[in-house]
Amino acid sequence: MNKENVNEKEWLDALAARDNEAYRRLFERFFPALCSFAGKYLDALREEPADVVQDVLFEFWVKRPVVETEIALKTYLYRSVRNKCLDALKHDRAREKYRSRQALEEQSDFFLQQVLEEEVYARLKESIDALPDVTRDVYNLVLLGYDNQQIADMLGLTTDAVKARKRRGKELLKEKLKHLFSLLLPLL
Amino acid sequence: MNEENIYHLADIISKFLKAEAAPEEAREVERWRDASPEHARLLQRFSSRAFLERRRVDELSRDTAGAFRRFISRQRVRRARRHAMAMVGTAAAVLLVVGLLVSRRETLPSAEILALSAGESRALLTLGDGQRVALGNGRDAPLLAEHGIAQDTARGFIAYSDGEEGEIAWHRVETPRKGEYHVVLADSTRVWLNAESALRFPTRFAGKERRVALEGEAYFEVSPDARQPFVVEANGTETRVLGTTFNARAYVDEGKVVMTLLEGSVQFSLGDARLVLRPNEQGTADLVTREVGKQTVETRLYTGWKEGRFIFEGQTLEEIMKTLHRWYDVNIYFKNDAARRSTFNGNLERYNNFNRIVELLEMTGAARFTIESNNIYIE
Repeated sequence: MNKENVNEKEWLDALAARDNEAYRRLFERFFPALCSFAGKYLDALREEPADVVQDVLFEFWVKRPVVETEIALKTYLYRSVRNKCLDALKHDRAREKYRSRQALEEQSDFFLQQVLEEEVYARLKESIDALPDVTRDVYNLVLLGYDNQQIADMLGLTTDAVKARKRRGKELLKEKLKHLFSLLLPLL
Repeated sequence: MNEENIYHLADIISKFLKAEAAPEEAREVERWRDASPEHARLLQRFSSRAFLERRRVDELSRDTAGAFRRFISRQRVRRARRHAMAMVGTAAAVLLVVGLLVSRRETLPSAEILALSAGESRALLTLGDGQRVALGNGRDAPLLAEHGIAQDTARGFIAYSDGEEGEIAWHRVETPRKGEYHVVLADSTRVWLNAESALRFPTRFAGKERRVALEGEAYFEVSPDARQPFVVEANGTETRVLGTTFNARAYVDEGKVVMTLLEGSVQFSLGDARLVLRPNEQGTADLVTREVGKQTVETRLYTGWKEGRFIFEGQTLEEIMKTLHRWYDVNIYFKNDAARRSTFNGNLERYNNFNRIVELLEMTGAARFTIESNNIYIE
């Protein structure tokens, strides 16, 4: 087993032992992805993706299903979220949405496409997460729509330092995500 | 595409996008792309920077830290329910334990011998309505549960959970001399209060900032949340962080606020004077001159107390005693300046009683201690 596998095994064991540090990592890794995933199924006006995902993760903690690999864990999570979403739609008055969603599921790879999107993004975002702390904070805040002055105030930097971090972030991401960043960033 | 190979596919597609794919993997992605117009459309979508940015914004907009806090509080609710069920069965056992405690109390040593013992886990909690609860010493307070506060009497801390509704009240935890206490705030931020210190905080955090007020000394592990900065007010200083670990020392009688940063970055300010601290930097705000400055330090000298140690490296006896007098509740009198200025190195157990610490300090031959009840004379 390589190191990654050992860490993966340790982590899965810690989840089975209800270690909350392991659960914190579970939330960090999967909560946003599963919310986005659930959002593709739910009628946004009626159901909160965060509630569905919260229930799935809490059930995971209560039931402690056997998952021996990270892929088994992912399969469990994506499937549980999908099933819960479809259930929610079924009980909802928006039966029409349920019917159309189910039809879509049957005639295409809807489920798999959504899983693929989450999993591709999970790997691409590693490049963003690997940026130096301050540069990453600046990058995130730019994306959230803050201007240089607001970012400077929030992070205790000068606006010049903020600009320098933006440039640095752009360079680093261009380096890592060559195919995506072949064009100049309009934001940065 | 099927469920078995979807993760492998995600792997090689992302490698392809990062230009890290081996030739064989790149060919596999191309074959997949050409197999259906749907696949080509997906790959096109993943290759755009707009996709990455939109997904990042989506990710940042999810309140992961809040969801995790909610998860923890659901665990507590479930455990409390189970605990209540189990309680009925063990009522008899509880009576027995209470009996043991009562009989143990009579054998406690007299106050005089206790006087120079080390501090321990204890504090006073003041609730929003002014009611007070003594914390520590293994005491269970029913009032805490009523306010949704969990107490771990064995390890000596209380924890707030992130309720979504209900009024916000300001609570205050105050340690006496010879006391320390640990509080987990509603956002999962952990605070260790040293002796003779106080923290004022809301029962949950709403609005743009998470704001607390400190007197004395505390060690903070702030839960990261880039959208709701954490602000510590202490003696007119403000320390603004997104999520970091630092030690704040703000005893009024020391005339300065000392902020030691272990991780992340903080903005430290006093009035208009402000500076940014990086790991291993220490900011000092002089409350008399109203100036702030910083230096690089060895952080363990300032945070050892939290790990149960007193760590000294070249500190003067006067500085060392400033730390010890609150922990042992002793008054220090220097008989001459030589003793005051003598310097020490050491790494001492914080839960030793004072007499043991004195023995170790005297071994160096640099100072002599005379102990009269809790007055300590040094020459």
